[in-house]
Amino acid sequence: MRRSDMVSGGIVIVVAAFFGIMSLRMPWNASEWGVYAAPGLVPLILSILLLSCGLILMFRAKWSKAHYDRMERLNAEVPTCGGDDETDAASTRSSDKSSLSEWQRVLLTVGVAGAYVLLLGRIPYMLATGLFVLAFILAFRGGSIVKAAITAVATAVLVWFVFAKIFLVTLP
Amino acid sequence: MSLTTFFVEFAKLLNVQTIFNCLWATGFGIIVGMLPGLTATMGVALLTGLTFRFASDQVVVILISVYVGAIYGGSRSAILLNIPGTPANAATCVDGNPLARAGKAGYAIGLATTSSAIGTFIGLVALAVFSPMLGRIALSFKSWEFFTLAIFGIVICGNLTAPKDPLKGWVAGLLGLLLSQIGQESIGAYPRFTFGTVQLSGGLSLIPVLVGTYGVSEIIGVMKMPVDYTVRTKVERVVPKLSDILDYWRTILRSGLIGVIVGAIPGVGEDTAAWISYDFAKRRSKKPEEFGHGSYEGLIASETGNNACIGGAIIPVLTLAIPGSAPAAVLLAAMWLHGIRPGPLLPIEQPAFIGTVTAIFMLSTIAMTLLGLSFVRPMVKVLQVPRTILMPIIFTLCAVGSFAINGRLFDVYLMLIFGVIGYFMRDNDFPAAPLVLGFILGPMADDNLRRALVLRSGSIAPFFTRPICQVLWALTLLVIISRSPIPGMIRALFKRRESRA
Repeated sequence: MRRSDMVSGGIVIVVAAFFGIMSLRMPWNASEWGVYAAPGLVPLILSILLLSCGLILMFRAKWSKAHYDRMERLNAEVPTCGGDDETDAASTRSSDKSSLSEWQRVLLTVGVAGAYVLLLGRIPYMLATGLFVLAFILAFRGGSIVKAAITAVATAVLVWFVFAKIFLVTLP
Repeated sequence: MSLTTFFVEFAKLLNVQTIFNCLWATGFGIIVGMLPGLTATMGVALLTGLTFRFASDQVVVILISVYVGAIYGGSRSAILLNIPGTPANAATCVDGNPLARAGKAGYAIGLATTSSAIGTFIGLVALAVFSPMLGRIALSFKSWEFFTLAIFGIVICGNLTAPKDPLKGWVAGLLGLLLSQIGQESIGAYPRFTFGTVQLSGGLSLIPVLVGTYGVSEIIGVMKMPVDYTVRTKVERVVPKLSDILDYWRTILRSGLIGVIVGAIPGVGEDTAAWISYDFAKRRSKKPEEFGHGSYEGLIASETGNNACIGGAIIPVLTLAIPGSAPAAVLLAAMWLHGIRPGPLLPIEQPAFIGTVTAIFMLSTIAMTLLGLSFVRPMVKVLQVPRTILMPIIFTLCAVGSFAINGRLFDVYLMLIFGVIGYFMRDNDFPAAPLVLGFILGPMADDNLRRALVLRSGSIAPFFTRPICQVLWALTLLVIISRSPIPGMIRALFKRRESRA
């Protein structure tokens, strides 16, 4: 947690510095009301506050012991949801067929979703949607290729029909 | 608002189209709420985009019905899978799942349904009574009060949504405020942080930000898990005994009141209401040892609290145009999109609207109760759809919903970017609610601060001399000081003095 707070604090400082510098570069006396109506006034104030918070986050991660001891204590006390290791009479768990780590699963999800989003507008909507659903199911080994293909086609056709024809929503 | 007004508005809703829309939207909301990975915010945001071409009166019916259904629906997966369908139902897991393990899944669902219905009813009564009162006070809000209210909202939201580490809540809030500054500012139309692009000149659109932060980030979070869950419990008796409800009437009233108060606080949502209601119920219970092991009282407290919060969250939406929770934020955005102007002038411009919203709440509560008690077994089957099939379908709906409002692919890219940002924020314990609240309140804070300074030639004195501002600043300082090391230092000082004496 210390390490992630250090990294988070660093990112917050960079974001705050970016917004702050961009705010200072905006015109400050261009309007008839002077600095009070300057476009950079509120972003600058917010950047300074965010920068302070980022610095506190980093300093705390580097030097504070009491805070992280308290966090460990609090995390141990909170009742958790999400299933536990006891035998559960209400539900069963099935292991996923793919043997990917958590990070790989995250990257795969974002990657496949990102590819779909980039395809939208470049190829017909139904084709893009069908390919996305097919790729997603196969990537996570959620079923056979036939089952994945049927789901992909059904999703693409149903979404197009319901939203373009019934709800009259513009599709990408 | 008088009872006559309520009954007149309720009678106007009793037509085939409205009842049909209410029923399907409530059912959709229950399913959305039930599915881990889908939140009430996402459900409301999705339908905002998808019902863009509907008439505005029907849109309000649909969105409120989805909201009510989703907050209740999460109790199903909480009870059956020990996974809350929405964060609002996390407290329901604690006593709901032990009941399911003991073979009382159906009864637990029935108790949850009845408690949710009573909670929503308490919320709508509070909405009807307090909205007009707060509306009159809101008419005396000027630029100074609105700016101070925005700051207070961010501080208290950050504090309550990140109770272990409020600094992270405040960072999220400030980030949301900063991101809302992107685009042309309202006084001189100067393009801020746009880098010369047309897409950014209009600012970041709220619906894609919401769908990304609450929807796509949840999809990533769900797919990250290596295991899937399948329901195999049998669901038997559903309708609870009246005595089991009446025995806990004090808990119900207290949880309802807590839900309304927490809901009225800007940005703090149903999850906080549920936990606070649960905590109070446990402290006041005659049998606290049963909590965590299948206590009816615990289940009733959490479900009443989270549903009463809905009515409470709508109160500041209608009177101040400030959302009391994330789904309420989407509702606010949807109202703006359809030409409804919530805020202090609402009772003047659209005097019947508060009555209409109250009546819609009543209708959706009835729909929720009917669907909740009668379609238990078919709806539970939805939980058996594997997430590898469900999540890509949900993502395509998110993309459609984000695209539908402005018809530009940039919004879909934005949705994905905020989905990734939202995921990393949650992974590092930064809450999403203050980010969204800051995003909504940012323009209000910006406009009102600069307007106030221009009006008084730069003087900041009115911010500290006007009575409402003084109350808000006092509350803000109280929250910040209470979470700082100062109280601990003072206590340590007193302890040292006592030990010396």
